[in-house]
Amino acid sequence: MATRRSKVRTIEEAIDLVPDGAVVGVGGFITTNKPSALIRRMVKLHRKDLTIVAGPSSIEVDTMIGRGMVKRLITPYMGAEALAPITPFFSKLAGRTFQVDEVDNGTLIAMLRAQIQRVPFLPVNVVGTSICDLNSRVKVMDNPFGGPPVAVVRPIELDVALIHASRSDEFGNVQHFGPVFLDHLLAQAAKKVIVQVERLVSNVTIRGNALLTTLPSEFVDVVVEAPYGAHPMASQNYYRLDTERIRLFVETARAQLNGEAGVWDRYMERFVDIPKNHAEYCEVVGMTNMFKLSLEGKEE
Amino acid sequence: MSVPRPDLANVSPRELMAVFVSRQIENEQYVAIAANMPVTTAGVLLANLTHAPDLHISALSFFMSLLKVEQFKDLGQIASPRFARWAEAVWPLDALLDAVPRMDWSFTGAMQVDAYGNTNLIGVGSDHSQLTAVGPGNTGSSTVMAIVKSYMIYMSRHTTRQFVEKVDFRSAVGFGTGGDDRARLGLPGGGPRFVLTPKAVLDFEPGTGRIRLLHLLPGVSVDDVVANTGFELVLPPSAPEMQPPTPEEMDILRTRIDPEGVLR
Repeated sequence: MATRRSKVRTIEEAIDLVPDGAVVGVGGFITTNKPSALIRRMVKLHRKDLTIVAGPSSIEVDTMIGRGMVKRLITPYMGAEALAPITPFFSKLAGRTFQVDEVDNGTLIAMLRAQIQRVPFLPVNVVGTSICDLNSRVKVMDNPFGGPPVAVVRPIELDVALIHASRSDEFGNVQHFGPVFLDHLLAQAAKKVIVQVERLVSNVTIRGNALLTTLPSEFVDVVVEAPYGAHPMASQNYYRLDTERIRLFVETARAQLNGEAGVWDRYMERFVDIPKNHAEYCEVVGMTNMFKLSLEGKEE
Repeated sequence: MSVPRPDLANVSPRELMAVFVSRQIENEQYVAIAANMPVTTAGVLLANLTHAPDLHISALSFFMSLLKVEQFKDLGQIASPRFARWAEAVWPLDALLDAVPRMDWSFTGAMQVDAYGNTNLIGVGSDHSQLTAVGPGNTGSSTVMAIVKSYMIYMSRHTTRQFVEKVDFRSAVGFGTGGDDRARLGLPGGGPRFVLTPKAVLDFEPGTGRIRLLHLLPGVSVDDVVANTGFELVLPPSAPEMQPPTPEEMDILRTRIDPEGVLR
């Protein structure tokens, strides 16, 4: 009897599919649902010359900038709200080694939709903004139907999309217990889609709750089980942002930027370089600390 | 029984701004709350909890009513799964953007704002590859401010460094080069209505689209505002102080919306 192929891989196997120079889509939104475990593996391996395409981003992308892995950055936001209005390495002024293609959410969405729809460009309402001057994928043209000029944006194809979600079956039927943000667009604009989930569940469980499925298996190539995989970011319906860790990141990154040698290196050794895998990372953080991030604590 | 009037000296400029925001919002309108903008978020909540019980609020990927909030603790960090408890609907980000033409009010911050309300979140400097200060990025502002019916600009500081003749980069177009420039650019939305600063509330002169003084905050003089504005501010014949907050507004603001004192 024919059997259906499992898409379950390890984090290590998944990141072997992401070479230097790749155009990488990063899912989630600001500090929620970031594919942190997958990114930590890329950071550990010093993947380089990456083009990062992401919705509103935070320290997960800033870490890659800090390690010198990013060649080109396409994201509308780099911050962590009150914890870090602008992420430290992105805010560094001198000697920036990466290019920023300016977008806003609408431009990024149009760029991904143009790719998905296989149209040469899509109009976007950014005429008069600097995006038209600071992003080579955006041009202003005459409206063929008359009236004011229109800004149009070219498609972008992603080599790979890295996504964090709540659960999946082994075939890649993925469920978010909350908003998909832009994950559905990143997945459809990517040649390869890697999804890390808090839990792998049976196909029967997925079918019993098919209304929750956000990415059907057609759109998913690899599934990785990574409990606490978004940490130190939040994961929908599982745990909240680890604000103490974000503060530690910001503090050590700023120390590095202020010329204080070693502080950032020790941070990276502790959380990225020494832990051999995601399980060891979780042990470094400690389950006592992880459990404090439960969404239904006493303080809620 | 008369309720004592809250002492205005003890109301912070940020609290006053939140009260101003609240008073512009009408019941049954559709408004957005944005990440890292606690003052305007507090204003939206205050409207919802006072005169606008039928307000439609979208935040990040959620549609919500905040009428049942007892103690709001997310002013500093609304991009949090904890915030999802208020969601009545959950939409993808692109679907929310498609809904902006319906939206009555949105809000944006800025590193710089110019005489026509154009805003800059990209950075300061003449060369994009050699910025002297880096901004957090355009967020959703470029498209949203082009389309939304009305919006307010929130400025956390008011000096000639933020209020400049011409922004170094434009994240969102206010009134462009003034006059009918928005129509010439084909922008469907109504443009900015107010600029909120720690010194004053500003609006826009009809016709020219230039920033104009509307209200001074307590203890601030016209000269102070003019001296800290790097472009020629339109001055009306008089700039009355805004109506002080009511005891009810201050009570709700401090006990239910901002119990942790983020705005104080």
